[in-house]
Amino acid sequence: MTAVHRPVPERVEGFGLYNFCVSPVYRPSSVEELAAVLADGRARGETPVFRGAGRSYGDAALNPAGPVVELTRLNAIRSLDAETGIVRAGAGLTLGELWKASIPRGLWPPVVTGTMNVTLGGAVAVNVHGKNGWKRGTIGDHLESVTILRPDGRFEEVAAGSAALADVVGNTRAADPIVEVALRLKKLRSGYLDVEGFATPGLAATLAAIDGAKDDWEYVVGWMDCWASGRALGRSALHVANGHVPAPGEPTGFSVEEQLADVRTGPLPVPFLLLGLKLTARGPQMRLVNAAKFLAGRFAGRARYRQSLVAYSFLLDYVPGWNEAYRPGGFIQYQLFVPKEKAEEAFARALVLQQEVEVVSSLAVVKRHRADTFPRGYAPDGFSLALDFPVTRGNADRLVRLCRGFDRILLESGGSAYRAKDCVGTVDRLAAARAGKAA
Amino acid sequence: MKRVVLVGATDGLGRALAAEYASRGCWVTILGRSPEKLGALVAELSARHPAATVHGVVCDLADAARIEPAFREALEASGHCDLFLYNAGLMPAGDGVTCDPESDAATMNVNAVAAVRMLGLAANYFRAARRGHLAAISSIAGDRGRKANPAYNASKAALTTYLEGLRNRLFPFGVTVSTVKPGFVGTRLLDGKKNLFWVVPADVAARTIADRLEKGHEVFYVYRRWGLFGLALHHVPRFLFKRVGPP
Repeated sequence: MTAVHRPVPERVEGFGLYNFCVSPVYRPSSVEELAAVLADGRARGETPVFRGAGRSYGDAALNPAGPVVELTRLNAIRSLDAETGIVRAGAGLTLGELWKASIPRGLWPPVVTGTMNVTLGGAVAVNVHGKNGWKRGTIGDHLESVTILRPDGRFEEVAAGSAALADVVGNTRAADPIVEVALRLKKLRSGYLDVEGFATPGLAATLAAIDGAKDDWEYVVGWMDCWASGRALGRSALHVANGHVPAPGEPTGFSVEEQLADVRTGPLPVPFLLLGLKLTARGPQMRLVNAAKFLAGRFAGRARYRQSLVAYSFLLDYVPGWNEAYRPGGFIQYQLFVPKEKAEEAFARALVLQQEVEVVSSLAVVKRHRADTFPRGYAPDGFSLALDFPVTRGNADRLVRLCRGFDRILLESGGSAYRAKDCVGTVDRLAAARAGKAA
Repeated sequence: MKRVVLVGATDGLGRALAAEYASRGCWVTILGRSPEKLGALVAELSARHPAATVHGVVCDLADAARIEPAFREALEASGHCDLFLYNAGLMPAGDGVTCDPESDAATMNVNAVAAVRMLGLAANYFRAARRGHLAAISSIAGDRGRKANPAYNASKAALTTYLEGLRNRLFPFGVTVSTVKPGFVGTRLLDGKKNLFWVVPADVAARTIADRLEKGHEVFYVYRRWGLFGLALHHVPRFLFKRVGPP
């Protein structure tokens, strides 16, 4: 057996930088090495936590009491079948590497996150969703199989529909690692999307517009201005998109260059943008940015444009390293998932609560979801509202009150929370509160 | 949003500190010896302060083998740690004249040896995290050896010096190390003691300590006048100290 070198414990962070742990981090570059690391851990009586690219905002990929095993180096693409659209790849392959390999074949991941820097294994472990949550559900719905390395060294291929798969999907504390994922990709007619942007004046209108668009449009997402109050409470800028149907002779967009050509950050180089973000991210200026975004949508009317899939999907990658602007306190994300009947009331309460405690999210995203089919699932048939909050010395106690207020809203509206975005222990709190009520 | 791990928090000042941090909506993880007391305190603080997240970890500091596992369990419960506060301390009872080696050794063990074990783990954690705050409740009693309680004085002197060393060691890593010398705090520790003055109620002491730690103070007394007292005490010459020194 390979001798295992124990790494010096290091600071390991969630993407929001608020949550961290100090752990030895193993980065095996082969399954043999991984097996040796796991055997070594078992001999020491340690329970590892598996980590992908570390894009979960909170503590999903952290291990406060033991080692972290990062699987990003297991990123080989074993096969990519252009006919069936099935890709088999190591769990450490990121969506970014995947689309670059698949787009020339006219294939695209059925579900993508707002950043392309998530690994397949990590995406399965938290069961990610995208802006097409209503049409396509979560990534778990598109798996052919996952391959798991068992303690006896055996590779077990767990097929879609089996009970064993249900134990893997959405499980960030699985005992055994996912080493390979087989995913069914989506066949594209074009690498471009027809996008429509428009504004909605209030919360009821926002939710109604999203609900109305969910069957006609593949991607539906709203950017909510959390500062708006009164009748404007919940006003949003909505973006809906469908696959473009190319006219004969039109470019297909089936190349990496064409996809990236649409990603534009404007004339300023990225370091300047980061500095700008650092100066504004925690300030009240964001109120103006939000109002401007809404008003631009309002006055421009219904805007129609064509955009590449990459430019539309991976908004979080426009400014690489943007999360660093939130140091030293970091930021947290809180995503409320609420069943459709209760969503308007719950979101209204969540918006008013932010304004009451004077901690208002500068970035709020509304999405529509279908009911998650996995036992460890999180999404009800309803809406989600994802909110970002910087953590500063000045707002810490108000932020705690806010999060606990959100917890209460979720409890009372039958809502739920999502591991990848949970920074403040909400998933466990909800489970404990519900178990307490049931007992 | 702060995550605090408190060692020795089921009684006295520690209990008041736990309540103070819970009232601020912190994640509070309490280490204590008695499972019953710990359970009751966790339940009480959780009920009183719904915004807080309170966990308990059983740890008898006299059991050296238990310290590292307890530290891990505390981190697991807390998720991460921003402030590690060591409050555990014993003060041997005595007539002020007779030495009781057993009880004195137990005092040294909890106040100094177990403190070094526990704080050392926390120091390594914060050094790797390159951020954080390490603090311990030491005492003005550690500034001079006095006739009433030599072992207690020695244990607190050891703790104070150890913390000073850690402060210097961890400074380049962005870690703050604080030594708290509360003065007389109205807790069980003082029961039956005479000649007390400037006694501060435990909850007031806890609030003051939490405020000062928040500001990043490194060495402080609860009442600032104790600082002057300490300075004076420090300068009483030996020949005088042994004749008329305070008990």
